[in-house]
Amino acid sequence: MASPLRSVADHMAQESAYGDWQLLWEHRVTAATAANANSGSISGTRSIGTITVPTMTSPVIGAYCTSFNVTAATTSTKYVLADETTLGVLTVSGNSFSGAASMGTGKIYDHTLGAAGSSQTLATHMPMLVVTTAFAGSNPVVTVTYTNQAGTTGRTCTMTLPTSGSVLAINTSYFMAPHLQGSDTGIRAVTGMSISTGSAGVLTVFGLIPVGISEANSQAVSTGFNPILAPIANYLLQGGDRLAFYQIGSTIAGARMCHATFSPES
Amino acid sequence: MAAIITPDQLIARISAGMNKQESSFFNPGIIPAGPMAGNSRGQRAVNFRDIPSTLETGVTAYIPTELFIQVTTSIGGLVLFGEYIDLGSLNLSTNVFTDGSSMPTRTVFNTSVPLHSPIFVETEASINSTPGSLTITYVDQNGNTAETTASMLLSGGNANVGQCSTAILNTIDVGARDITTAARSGGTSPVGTLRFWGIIPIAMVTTGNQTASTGGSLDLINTGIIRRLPAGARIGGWIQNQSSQAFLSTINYVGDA
Repeated sequence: MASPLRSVADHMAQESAYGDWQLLWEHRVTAATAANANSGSISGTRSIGTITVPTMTSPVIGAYCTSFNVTAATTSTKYVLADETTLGVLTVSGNSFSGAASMGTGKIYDHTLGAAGSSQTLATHMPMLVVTTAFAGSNPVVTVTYTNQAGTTGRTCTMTLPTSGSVLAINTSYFMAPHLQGSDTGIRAVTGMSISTGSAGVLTVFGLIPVGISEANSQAVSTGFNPILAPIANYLLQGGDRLAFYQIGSTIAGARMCHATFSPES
Repeated sequence: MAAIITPDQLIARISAGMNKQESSFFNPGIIPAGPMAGNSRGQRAVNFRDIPSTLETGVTAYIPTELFIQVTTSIGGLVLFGEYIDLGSLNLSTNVFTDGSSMPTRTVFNTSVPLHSPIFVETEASINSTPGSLTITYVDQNGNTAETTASMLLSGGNANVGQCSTAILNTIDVGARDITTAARSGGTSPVGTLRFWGIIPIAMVTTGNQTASTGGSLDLINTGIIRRLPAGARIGGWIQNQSSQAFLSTINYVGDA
């Protein structure tokens, strides 16, 4: 087994043998509805469109994000590139829940092994409630029933979403973590969703595993974060995984150019 | 000798003189408006010499190891360095599209993968005051053909070569593998030429923000970016901002074995 994270030499060897993936992607984010203390506190916007991780051919077993940078247009904004899993969908009209799913299993790089560790049951510590079709109504209370990070079922997350002009803009994203039950820190699976009011719209719970983070400093200049240099829990992506881009801390619409590098493990 | 796969081999190549440096000074001297009003705008910031079409004896590719950029104002930003792929051009006067290349296929994760890119639309010849609108038909990131953008209004009176806008692709599309055609509609005696580029990224370098001038550098090898650039590759840089400034940049290469 060989990992690009073990050393510079290993990264060079893996790139030579199997090829890195260089991704250039212009994310377009639409104007979002701001969050408040009852809806995650920090505003967020999911970008239009997602990217699928390319197919991997043996002996490649996965890939890590090894660099990530984003052009910034506003100050005090963070950008997250994440492996995204759909955990549940709520159709407002009819208050109908569908698509119950779990985070499944995955591997994290083990720094003591110098390779990916054993497969483990995943929980997202960054669950997001996203308006995937514009919502019509006023200040709805949304309840999400879930299995927490330890596998305990029947837990609930309750949020009141702050509408603006009886609308929640599409792609507006709300942090669920501050509203998880008790001392819960994450979600393994969503088993139910309901809403108190509303005439139209679709809300989706996405489970995120961040693979790249970038932020804009006070001069609106982006400072990249290179995962290959940091002792973080690098997540091993698989072919077919879905990557999504989130703008955090801003509701402003616009376009951001993103460059990410992904390197193979074999 | 096999391709370079260790830092020691990299150093040995440098010791053997298999390295070079290219520099670029580019002074557009204008505030970029981009050829399309309302689209993301920026400008060409870097023009390095192409990788030679016939590589030197004993060299199979160019490995970029470091990037430097200096800009002449206090407005910072990120410069995107990359390999430019010519997707074609459009003469606004004759409304004739001249096709270029497709995004290449490269080995990714031990698999042959057709690459995709945002479409960068650059003013190659000055645009007059009434140029009309632009639509682009392209093959998307998944290989779906006959994807056509909405009509994008062109900026009239855009006299400055090197300005770029990015095309707004169809909803949920994130890139193009190829441009099938492009067309201008409307306008009054339109004049100008647009060049369409795809970019295979090398790195983004932060220029920072200081009172007099700003600059930045990036060690590619040690920050997780390893690229092997082929013969004939066109290397350039793009910055997404709205300032009039000049750019001085340098790239260091080691010749792969």
